[in-house]
Order: sequence, then structure tokens, then C-alpha cells
Amino acid sequence: MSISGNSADIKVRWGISAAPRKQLAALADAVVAPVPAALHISLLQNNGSTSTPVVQTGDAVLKGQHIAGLKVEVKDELADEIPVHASSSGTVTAIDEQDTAAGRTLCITIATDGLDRLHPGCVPMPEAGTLSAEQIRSKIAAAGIVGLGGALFPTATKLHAGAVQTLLINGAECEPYINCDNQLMQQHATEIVNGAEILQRACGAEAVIFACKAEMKDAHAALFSAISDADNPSLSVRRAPDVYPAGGERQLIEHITGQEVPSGGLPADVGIICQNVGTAYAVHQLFHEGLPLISRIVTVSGGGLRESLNFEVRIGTPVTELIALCGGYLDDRGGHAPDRLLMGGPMMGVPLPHDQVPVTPAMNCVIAGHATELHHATEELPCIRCGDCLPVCPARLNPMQLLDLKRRSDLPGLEQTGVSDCIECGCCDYVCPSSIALTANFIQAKQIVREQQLLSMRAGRSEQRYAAHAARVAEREREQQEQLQSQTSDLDASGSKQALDDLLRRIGKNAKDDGV
Amino acid sequence: MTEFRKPKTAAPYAHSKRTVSGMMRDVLLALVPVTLALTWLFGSGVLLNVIVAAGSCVAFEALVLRLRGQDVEPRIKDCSALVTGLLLALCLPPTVPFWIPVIGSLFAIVLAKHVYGGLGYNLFNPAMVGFAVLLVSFPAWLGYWPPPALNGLDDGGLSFTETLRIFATGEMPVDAVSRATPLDAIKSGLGNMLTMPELKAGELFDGFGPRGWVWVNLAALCGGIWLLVRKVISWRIPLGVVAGLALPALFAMTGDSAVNPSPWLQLMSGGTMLGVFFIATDPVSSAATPKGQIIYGIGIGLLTWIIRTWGAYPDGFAFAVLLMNLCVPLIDRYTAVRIYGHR
Repeated sequence: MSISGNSADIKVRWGISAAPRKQLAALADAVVAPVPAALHISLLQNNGSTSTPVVQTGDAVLKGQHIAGLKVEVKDELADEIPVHASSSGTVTAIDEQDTAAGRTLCITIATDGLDRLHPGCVPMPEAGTLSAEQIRSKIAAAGIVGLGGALFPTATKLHAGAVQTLLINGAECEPYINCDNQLMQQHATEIVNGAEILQRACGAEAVIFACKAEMKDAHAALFSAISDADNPSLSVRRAPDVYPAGGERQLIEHITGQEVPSGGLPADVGIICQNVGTAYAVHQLFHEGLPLISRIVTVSGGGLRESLNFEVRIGTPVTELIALCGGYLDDRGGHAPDRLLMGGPMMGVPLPHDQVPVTPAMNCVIAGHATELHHATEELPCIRCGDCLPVCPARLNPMQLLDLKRRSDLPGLEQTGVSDCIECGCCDYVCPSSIALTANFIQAKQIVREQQLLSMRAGRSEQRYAAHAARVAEREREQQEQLQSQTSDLDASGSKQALDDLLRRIGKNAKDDGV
Repeated sequence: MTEFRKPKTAAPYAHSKRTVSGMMRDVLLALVPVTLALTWLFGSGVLLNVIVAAGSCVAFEALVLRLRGQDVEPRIKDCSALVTGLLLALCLPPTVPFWIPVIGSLFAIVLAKHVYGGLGYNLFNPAMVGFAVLLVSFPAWLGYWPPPALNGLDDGGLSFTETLRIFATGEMPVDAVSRATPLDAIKSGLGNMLTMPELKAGELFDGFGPRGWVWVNLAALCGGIWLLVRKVISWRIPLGVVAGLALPALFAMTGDSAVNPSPWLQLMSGGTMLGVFFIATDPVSSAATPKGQIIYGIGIGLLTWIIRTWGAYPDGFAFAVLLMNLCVPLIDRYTAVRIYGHR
């Protein structure tokens, strides 16, 4: 476990070559998880909104049937909610709030009938090659396909980004334990390449670059041969360094293309769109099998389990079903009973309250860690300014300076030193000898800075409004003054001081009525 | 359904297992060779200093922590006070009374460290503050070094009882031989119109460099290399100091070898290697950015060479370090790396 990435032939200055646990061996095929008795499909979307159910309790649904997501009014405009589909056939038994990895969210519960009957609307679309970019995007949107790398950003929205030179297909999953993309690339390279070609048409990219980590030799070989078969000269495969977080969107773009995504901007600003390999596969499934987004590959691993496996799982399957397929938890003998369940990897994972939570499109991995596995070693000590956090930061931030600014609540300082550019990867925490919860501090600081920016934006607007108002009042006063002057010259002529005082009083009263 | 307790902390749930106390223990271990070399050459007084300085540093640390209402145990366990004490002791001559290391520790821990906020907040290297206070306050005690116990030198060595007597009472035996260190000899010799070749022919030097001190410096070098291998320190500061000291020395020697000591003599004299690997690299008071560390190191080396060449003190390492400590906020500010996505 050494700091900085020098374990492979590709060297970068940032990141950690963290391998707290050996990656589980790639299997010939991911295990297809059977249809569970009940599916709990979360309706929460990446932007915090919830798709509106279009079915009711008691309704019979078919696999692939649209069950949530409407056209709704957002800021005086009609926008599509992200559609959600049933991942197997059965009956809707509940539409209520349930525990998920993202807290309590609205879920549709389907009691499955075990027949897995497909909705008649789910038909393959072999004519993808003849569709326009916009038609492809609307089909992808209607299938509810979102980024499966974890961010869940609607894929169709991402594809509609103006002039794009490069489509980057990200298979460089880099967190320890997680192996789902590696599995997918080995198992379905041809399908991924096919999906990527459809994505290429949908965004008009000149080149498509597939990226996997250098250590994923089999995945690399599979992608390479799939590309050779594809007969499309604009496709290529590149390797990313074997460090964490090589698969971070901005890091991968920098490594593969040498370009940096501007601070606060998007990859599209430099002509790049990044899509996960899982997303490309989902697009393939849509066009070649007619299936909307109803399944994904999930790694289930950890020292608290009998076995570690990759599963092809229907969205909505309770995690406990997968745990059971792994042979269940280990018992307390040898201290291997799990005491922590995470969604995602150990670096950015989210703790799960229990194992009944359902699989969502964001769930790339579930880790059941035993007592010594997923824990921070010691209690927090003062920062000794060792500077170990500097070289590992992929955003090239100075975490110890940021921490200092955060503790002093120096918002301008935090903004200036780039807290908003923190990608929350956790590398600084990982190396910190004082075990300081740096990332948690920065997430909080980012939030505060964002709120402050919103506030100052609003304050700016009201300042503008006030300035405009003040200008209007001044203009009126000037006019009155002019009027007064012309009148006083008349008065001077008549010599009446009394009349002048009356006039002045009247103007003063007018000004008061104007609210000045 | 199996439930899981909510963790106290947010992600990440993995750690490199590197800890402050582990780093400090590595530093303590790396100081063993130089401590042994000094003891072998200069007698048991070195160990007495180590015991008293380390003990009083830890005692002052505990006392101040208690006064500040902080948890004493975890802060003592981080071993940082022990490291400060040991470094201070290794800078002191072996023939000082006990209150010298005690006063040094007082200034190091109370003034330099805790007045500034304790571990992590001190602007200056605590051990060097303690040492500098002693250097300017007790020049007589600090300037006296017995000759190294090597064949061919006048036997100025003291017996254990004599050492203990000096240590307890501060009374020098009348027959004690005051002996210049090689750096003193160079400073006063050059001042007396001697040339470097003449000085090097003297009994304080041999073909290998400053007699005795070469071994002290090589022992410190060994410990330092081990720290580099363990990645407790980065190579940037040591390389910077060596370059900042050796390059001007090389140019000066090339210009006039009669009055300028060679880079080798500079590097192997006094506490140079101890300073290079153990004092300049103190994380708290040194620069943190990669480029800043090189600048900081070069600054220390260069200032040391300037003080040794033109200053009043034969060895200027402590002052060089303190002066560069002052510049750290500025260096870190102006050597900050461009953030990803900022143009």
C-alpha cells in the first residue's frame, strides 16, 4: 500500500494505489440474479426530484412497462421527468416511502408473478443506424437511461451538448472492491462498442475512445477485438493509470486527452462527453433488445461474506437477495461477522442502514465489511502539515490549507483556494496521518460556499433592483428640481417667499410618498 | 433483515494506516545511529542530555496540555515532544549542566510550541528555538566541546564521574581541555590568516574530513536515508539543503581554495546532516508544496553557508532554519500548484 501511483507502467502524479483488498476474480459471466418475490423501485432522481407514479396500487404491470415519470411544469416550461420502468411483471402492491441508499424515498413495490412477461412495447429497434441524433436521444430519454457510473445524470441530456469532438467511454472503475465494469467489458465488449456507436451518432462525436485501467488486461483485449470487428476507424482503446481515482471523469479526461475541464464547467466545454461502459451497454440493450433501463451489474463483496460475486440484477431487487446468493454473511467466529454495509467502494461509499434496501441504477457495488475492514484507524489528531495530502489530490488542491480556512469559516478564502473543485474522492483522508476527516469537511464547505453564492446572487439582484429604483427617484427629483427652478424664477419675479416655501414642502412630501 | 449501525464518520472508509505517532517513532528510531555515534565520540554526557531533555520536554508538554485543558495522554503518545527533546539534546555539547537542557526544553515546548497553539500550529521548529535561546544566552557552555575520543588526539576526554559532576553542579574540572570544533577552528583559523590547507593539516582533520564529526554526520545520514525509504520525509527538503550549502561552497572553493572549506567539509561538519534530515524536514515548520520544499531547503543551505562564511557563529544551521521557518507561509503561498481546471 504505497502512496502515489507507480505500480503500473503509466505514471501520474496524483491519486493512491490503494489496494486494501484484492479485487475479486472476474468470472466467466456475471451471475444472473433470479426475479425476487418483491421489487422496490425507487423513484428518486439525480437532481433530488421524484418521478411521478403513473400506476396505482393493484395495477398489473409487465416487464419494461413505464410506471413513473410525467411531463411536468418546471419554471414555466414543460419538462420530462425521468421515466422509470418495471423490471419484471407482477402487481403493484404499494407506492410509499421506503429505505433506500439515498435515505427514505418514494418507491413502487411490485409483487412479482415469476413469469417475467415482457411489455409488448419493448421491441428491438434495429433501425438505429438510420435514426437522426435527436430521434436516438429521445428514445434514450424515454427508456430512462441515466449515467450508470454513479452520478445518474440523464444520458440524453448529456448527449445534447453542442459541438462534441470526443466521446469517452469510461471503463476505468478505480475504487477497491468494485469490479462490475471490468466484468461487463469482458463479458459484453461487443455490445458496449455497439452501444457506444449509437451514442456517437446521438452526440455527433468525431472520435470514440474507450478507456479501461492498465491492469484490466482481459477487458482491454476484449474491447480491442470488439473494436477491430466494428469496422469504425474513429474508435480506439486507451489505458488509464492503475490508481484511484483514475476513473473520475475529470481525471480520465485529463489523462486521455490532455485537456482540463474548466473549473465550474462541464466536459462538453472542451468538446468531450463522458459515458460509463454500463450506460453504453444499456443503450445497446435498448436498441437491440428493446429493453429500457431495468437492470445493471452489481459487485457484491467484502470480508463479511462467504463469497464475492458480480450479479446482473433487476433494478429494485433487495440487496439481501444478493447477499443470500453469496452464501450469506459470515458468523462471528474469527471476527468476520459484517458490521458495516456500504453502497459503492470504501473511498466514496454510502453506508446502508440495512440489507433490505433495493438495487438502484447508482448501485455499482455492495460491500459487507467486517470489524476491521471498513474503518478509520485512530481518532483525529491536529494537522502536522506533513503535506502528504497535496501530491495525492487529483484536483491539485491544498487540503491542509482548505481545512484551515474551513475551520476559520473563511468563505472567500475557501472559494479562492478551490474548495468547489474538490471531487470528494477521499485521497487526502486516506493518507492523512492525523486521520482528519478532510473530505467530510470539504463537502460541508462546498455546500456553504454554494449557498453563499446563491445568497449573494440574490443580494446582487436586489442590489440592482434598489439601484434602479434609486435612479428612478433621482430622475424624478431632478425633473422636479428643474420644474421648481423654472417656477422660482417666476416667483422671484413675483417676489413671493411664502409661495416658494409651500412649493418646497410639497416636493418634500412627494419624495416621502415615493418611499425614499 | 440485518441492520447496521450508522457509522460515526462519512466516507472514505479506508486508511493508509499511517499515523503521526508512527512517523514520530520512525524518526526516533532513525536518530539512534547518530545518538550512538555522538556518545561513542563524546562520552556519556550526550546520553545525560538526551535523558534530561527528552524527560523535560515530555514533562513540559504534559504540564502545558493540562493547563490548556486538553487531553494529555493522546498528545503525549504522539511522541512529538520526545522527538523535540531528543533533537535538542543532540545539538548540545556533552559538558553542560542539567539546567541547560531543561531551559532549552522550556523554550522549545512552552514558548515555541504551545504559545503558538501546540502540535501543528508552531511557526518555528521548537528544538531550534530552544537551541538558539541557549546559544545566545549561554555561549560559554554551548561553545565548549571536548575533543572526540579518537586516537591521536590529546586526551581531553572526561570520566563518567567528571561528566556527572559537571552535569550536576556546572563546575568544570580545572584540567578540562577546551577544544575547538572543526567549524570553530576554521572560523578562528581563517580569521588568524591561516589557509585551509594549513588548517586541514591540523589535528582536528584527517584525510576523511573533520575528525570524529564525519562519523556523526554519516550516522545521521544513515538514519535520514532510512526515513526517506520509509517515506516519512520527502527527498525535496534534504536535497535542497545539500544543494544550497554545497553548491556555493563549491563555487567559493573553486574561486579560492585557500580560504573556503570544501563542500565535503561543509556537509560533514557540525550538525549538518542532523539538520538536513531531521530538523529541516520537521513537517510542521517547513514548506509543504513540492516546489516550496525545494526552495525552503535551498534557503536553509544557503543561509547556513552565509552564516558560516561571514557570520559570527561557526555553525549557523539553527538560525538558518529559524529564518526559513519565517518564510514558510510566503513560500507556500507563492508555490501553490495551479488547481485543475483553473487557468
